Amino acid sequence: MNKTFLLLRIAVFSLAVFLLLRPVKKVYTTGASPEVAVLIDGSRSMRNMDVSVYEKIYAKVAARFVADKKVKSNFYVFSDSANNIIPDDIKQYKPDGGITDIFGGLDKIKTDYLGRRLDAVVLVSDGNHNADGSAEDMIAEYSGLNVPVHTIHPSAPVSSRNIAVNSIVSPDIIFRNTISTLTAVIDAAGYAGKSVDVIFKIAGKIITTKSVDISGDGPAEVQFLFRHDFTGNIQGSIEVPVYKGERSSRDNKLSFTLQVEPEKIRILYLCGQPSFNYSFLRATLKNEPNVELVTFVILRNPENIVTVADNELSLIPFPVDEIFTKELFNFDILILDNFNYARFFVNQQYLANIRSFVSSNGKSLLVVSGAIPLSVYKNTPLDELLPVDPGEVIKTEKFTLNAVNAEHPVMKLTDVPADNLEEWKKMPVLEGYNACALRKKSVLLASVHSGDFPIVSLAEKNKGRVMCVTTSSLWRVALGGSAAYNYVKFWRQSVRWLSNASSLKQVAVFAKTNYNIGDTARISVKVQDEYSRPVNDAVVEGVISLPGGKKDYVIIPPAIADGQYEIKYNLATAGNYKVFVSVRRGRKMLGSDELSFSVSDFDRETASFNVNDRLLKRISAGTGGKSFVLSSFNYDDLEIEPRSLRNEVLYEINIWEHPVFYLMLILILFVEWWYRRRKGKF
Amino acid sequence: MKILLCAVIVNMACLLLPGNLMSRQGGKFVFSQLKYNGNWDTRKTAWNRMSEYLFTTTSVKALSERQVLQVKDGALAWSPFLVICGDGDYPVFSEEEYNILRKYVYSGGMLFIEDSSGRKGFGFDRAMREMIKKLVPESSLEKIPLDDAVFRSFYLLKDVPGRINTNKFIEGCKIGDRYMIIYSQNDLLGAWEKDNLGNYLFPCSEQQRWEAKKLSLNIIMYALTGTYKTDIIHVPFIKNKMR
Repeated sequence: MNKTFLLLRIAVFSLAVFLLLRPVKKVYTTGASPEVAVLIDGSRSMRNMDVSVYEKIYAKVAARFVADKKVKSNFYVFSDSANNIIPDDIKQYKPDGGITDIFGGLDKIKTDYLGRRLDAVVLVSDGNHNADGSAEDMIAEYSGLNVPVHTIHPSAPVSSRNIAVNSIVSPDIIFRNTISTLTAVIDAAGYAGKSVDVIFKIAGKIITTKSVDISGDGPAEVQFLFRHDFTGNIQGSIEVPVYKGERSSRDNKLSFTLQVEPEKIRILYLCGQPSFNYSFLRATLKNEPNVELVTFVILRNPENIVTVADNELSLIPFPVDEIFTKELFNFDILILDNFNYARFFVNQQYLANIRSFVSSNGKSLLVVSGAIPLSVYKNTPLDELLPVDPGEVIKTEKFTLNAVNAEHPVMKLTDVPADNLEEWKKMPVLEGYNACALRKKSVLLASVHSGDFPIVSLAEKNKGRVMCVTTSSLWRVALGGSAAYNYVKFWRQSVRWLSNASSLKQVAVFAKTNYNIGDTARISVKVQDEYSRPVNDAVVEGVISLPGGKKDYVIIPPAIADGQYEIKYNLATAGNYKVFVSVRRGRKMLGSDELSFSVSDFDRETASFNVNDRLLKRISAGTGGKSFVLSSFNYDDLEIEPRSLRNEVLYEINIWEHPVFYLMLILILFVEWWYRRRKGKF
Repeated sequence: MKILLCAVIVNMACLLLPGNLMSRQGGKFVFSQLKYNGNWDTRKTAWNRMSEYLFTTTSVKALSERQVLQVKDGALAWSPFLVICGDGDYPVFSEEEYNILRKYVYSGGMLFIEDSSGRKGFGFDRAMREMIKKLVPESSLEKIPLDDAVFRSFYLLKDVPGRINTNKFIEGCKIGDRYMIIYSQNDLLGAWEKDNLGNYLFPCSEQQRWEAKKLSLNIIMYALTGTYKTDIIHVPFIKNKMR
């Protein structure tokens, strides 16, 4: 076949395929002017920079945007909130915002431009963000929107000399007798080469002093390792001496409050006989990192005969006197697992000690029966503690659990109520229980499915808590269940409830532990009933003790449904504050709670003499923007271009409909026909 | 929904098994032994003797009858202590059975494997080592040290005894901080075997037999109390006694 003829055939075929595919050309709205939001820091920390900083911002940034007719720009000024500003007002702007909330400002722009095009954000700030929020989240959001954030920061002042305790980083809760780390950030300007003593105090007493070498202007971190022996709230401070020539001495001290919790929940587990129930529960508690477990299992009863010398046995004497008179009170939870006290020389006085351990000392008791009936405790000091009326019958039948109160924190296996109930329905068959009757004021969590006999029940006895499990076959939840983890979860939650962890309190008050003067404290209260259901119709009364002894009485109103109450309280005085809340529903007292926090006489805005260019560079790099210094900023370097948005198709052209392609097809076919006629057969 | 249905069926099946050991286990210890194709029952009467001894010597409440089961039986979930015995023959598990056994040991079940033949590297021994490797790939069989709770759970043992002294050690596979698989080649159960007239079936010295019995009792106590005897409160007492 002739080459020309072949080429013509290929051309016809290709053109036919092209037209069959019906190609379309999309034209995007690229011709539109780019839209830019300019976000200018209006917080007081900007005063610490160059005196004419806003004139420069106007001249180098705002005026150039206004002059550029190809770009549509919107101007915002931000501190604790962001508002629009006319470009001409920037020149004379007096920054007086008490907070630098960069992420809040960026969030406001995002909201304002919802459904509109936004091609870039220009952020002008010293970067001293001191509000809540996460840089990572904001960067991820802007990065996801494909909107670059260009940052411009002023230069730091040269002549200000100051040393300040800028911030303290510490965990919200520290544990008793556990080494914790507290990091103080010291902000220095004009003291390069100096060695500064940083003093760490608790309750006004010096704990330790560390020297930090100031290498230049900027933040320096000092770490303190410390350990505290007592639980509760502690007030402390980080201080640096006042040096000659410092611009302010008020920022040389920063106070803080820390909450010290018990390091571990101490559990004393007494078991009357070795059993699978003991084996599983012991293994579970042993694996809990926040539990310190001491167990005693009676391996041999007096009637058992052992034909070897005592030194061939690993048995140790059961230290009855020591446990029930002294050691008991060092524990948080006592477990009696099928423990027939009468057989082990535990007298009534020792049982009275257990009662006092729970009722007066606010500790907890877990009683497990199923092999030994609870009736052994009938008419003893322990009787009144039990959530059930002690029965003497041990029923050996098999049974399934009925989760009566599946949403209780002890029973909650998943967050979705329907799934949780399903998990409990899937639980394996158990065997053998001590038939008892639930007492008034006790809370029933699970019972025998075919009857009313309680299997898991709870009671609060004055300050303490008691839990009763009337079967010794709960280990089947681990071995015979679909998820062994449910067994672990159930016991973990039981231990938390017994130890009265704050997350499980009926009334719990929350607030930040450290504030600055002028801040607003958000005090919130969570209220639940004895079944852990949120209470929305309670009266929440608060007493706020101010520094100096004055007391403020407030009623804390409901915030939203779900048992949350909230009040905002302005902190006008520096020092330590105490908040006590008591909650009642009708005539019934639901509970009370208290907390304390510190307020520092320290203005984060006026203390910031340095520029946090690291944060600004992180924002620009993370969003695909550029970072500039105001003094050397050149508007053209921004190179703002309209972005091509895939969802902004201006119009579509159906290429396949264009007549030229059909003409070409006809022409090629005609040439091919003519060529064949002329050359004859191939 | 399928899982729920299965759980309900298994539970119903358990409820409908009158006369079965599972229906009267209570809080008692149950000695379960695996039945498989081949000679699985190498020490038929060991548990009868052991249970009597356990009852008179310790506070453990145990069922006197042995529970014989297969891996797929629902009874496995009622038996946190499972014995696998063998000599020449050995169990061959399907993938499904491996999965059941894996869930069993990771959920708190304990395997006591005994090679009654005491022949290293043959039949049962080789098969069991491969089985353990496949069952718990993250862990491996190790010699259980003499200061472990296994040797202190009731009797204080200074050596590793056995009716036959194949090894100077027993081996174990740890999950968490305790041995969930214990493997012996010293015929500990053989030390208990007697005929109906009360004569021991398998020969060894009296001292050897006594020590082997002590270790087998300790293993049962270990299944019920775990690492209890390594708790700090016991350490000075035990040290003093071992002196």
